[in-house]
Amino acid sequence: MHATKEFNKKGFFKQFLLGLRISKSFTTNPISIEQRKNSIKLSSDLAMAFARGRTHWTRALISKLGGKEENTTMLKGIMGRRYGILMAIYSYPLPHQKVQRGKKIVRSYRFCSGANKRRALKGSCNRVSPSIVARNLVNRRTKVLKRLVPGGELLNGSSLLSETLDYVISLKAQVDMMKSLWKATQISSSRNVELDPSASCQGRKLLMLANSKDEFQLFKKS
Amino acid sequence: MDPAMGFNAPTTFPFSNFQMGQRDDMYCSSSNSLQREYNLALTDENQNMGKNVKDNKSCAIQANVHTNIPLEASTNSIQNSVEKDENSPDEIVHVRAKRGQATNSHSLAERVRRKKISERMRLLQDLVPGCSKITAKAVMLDEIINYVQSLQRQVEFLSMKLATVNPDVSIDLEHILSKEILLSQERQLAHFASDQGTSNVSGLPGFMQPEMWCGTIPHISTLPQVPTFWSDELQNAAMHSGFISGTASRKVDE
Repeated sequence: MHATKEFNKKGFFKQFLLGLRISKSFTTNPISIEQRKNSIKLSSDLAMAFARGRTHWTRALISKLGGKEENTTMLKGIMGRRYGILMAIYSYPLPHQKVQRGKKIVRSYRFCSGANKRRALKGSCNRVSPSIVARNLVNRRTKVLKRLVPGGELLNGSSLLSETLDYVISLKAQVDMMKSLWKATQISSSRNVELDPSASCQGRKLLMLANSKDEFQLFKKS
Repeated sequence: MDPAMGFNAPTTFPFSNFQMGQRDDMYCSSSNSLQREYNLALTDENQNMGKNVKDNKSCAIQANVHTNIPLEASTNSIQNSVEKDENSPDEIVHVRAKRGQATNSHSLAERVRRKKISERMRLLQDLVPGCSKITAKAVMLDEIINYVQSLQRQVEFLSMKLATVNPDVSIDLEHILSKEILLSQERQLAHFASDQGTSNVSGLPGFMQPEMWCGTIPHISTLPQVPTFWSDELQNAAMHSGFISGTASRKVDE
């Protein structure tokens, strides 16, 4: 099953590192925080997708990222010579490129579906049965979930759920790793302060202790 | 689904034909194209649950419907067989007695589908926090949606945080990243070491932390492959912890 698959953390970091380095090389002139944030998010998303491998959601995510104009230069930089090949491998139909089905069949399905017929016969009574209400509730939420999971528009019931499972695992790992990275930068910045003894040193130390405590709890969990 | 599927495939084909013929006569399906698609769907489902359908093999033979269909039956042959069924009314009477059973291929397929979905739901339940005691499907989906959204927002927030880090710090980012991988490898060891540390300490729970960090340091710094950067970090940490534990003890004295 997907759930038992361990997320490739090492691969994620390697890819993330590469993405950050390339984004830095592309942005020699000073840029806004917003742009930096976007490049960091892009490289982390790419790293997550490549660390997971080829599934529905990774393909959808990468082709969605590649579809944006501002990302193409960075994507080319990260993927290098393999850009064309990788984009072909991870190609995925975007929602608006949905495959057209035969119109005739679709229409006949709509008209001949048993539930509709029954409803049409029952038209006189206004009361809606609870099972239909429950189904409507579930359907509405499924639609929302389809929008959240990349590439979910083209999936149905059980495959959508398994993709969601996979996506949630990867997202969790991504958040974990970005958190630990943030802590590492905090530690290193506190180290820089340490080198020149200043008044705010003690505050930094306290902050660091709090951080290390958090990290320890993380250890304990893992 | 399982390795047995391929083996059972031959038995499913005659059965599905038989089913189709029966259904065709029962409901007098209106559109031919719709029916064709329906047939295809049925054969797909049957392939998925060859195991279950195998039990009905005797039923199919009893009805004497096309037991001689070849293994690689294509959609064309299925279509032909359906037409044949329409021309032979005496078999329908025989078939009608079997209708309404729960072993109907359609309901079996539905059952398999539902089972699959509920299994996935159970796995998601384990994964999403605060979702373990909910039984309603809609509420569970709500929780899952909320969780996914919160994770996506956290990624946004963290990338924003990382972007706001002082640029001269982010130059070090690569060093840190490469060490981070090592750290994640060391985590388990560090945890064990810290456990040994706790066994000696019998103080307030809030002040345990520094001693634990001290406990991990000699362990990691003795490892040859750990670069100097991290051992520096850890020594700094030790200094901090020493400092703070000192203040802590002073506080306790007060």
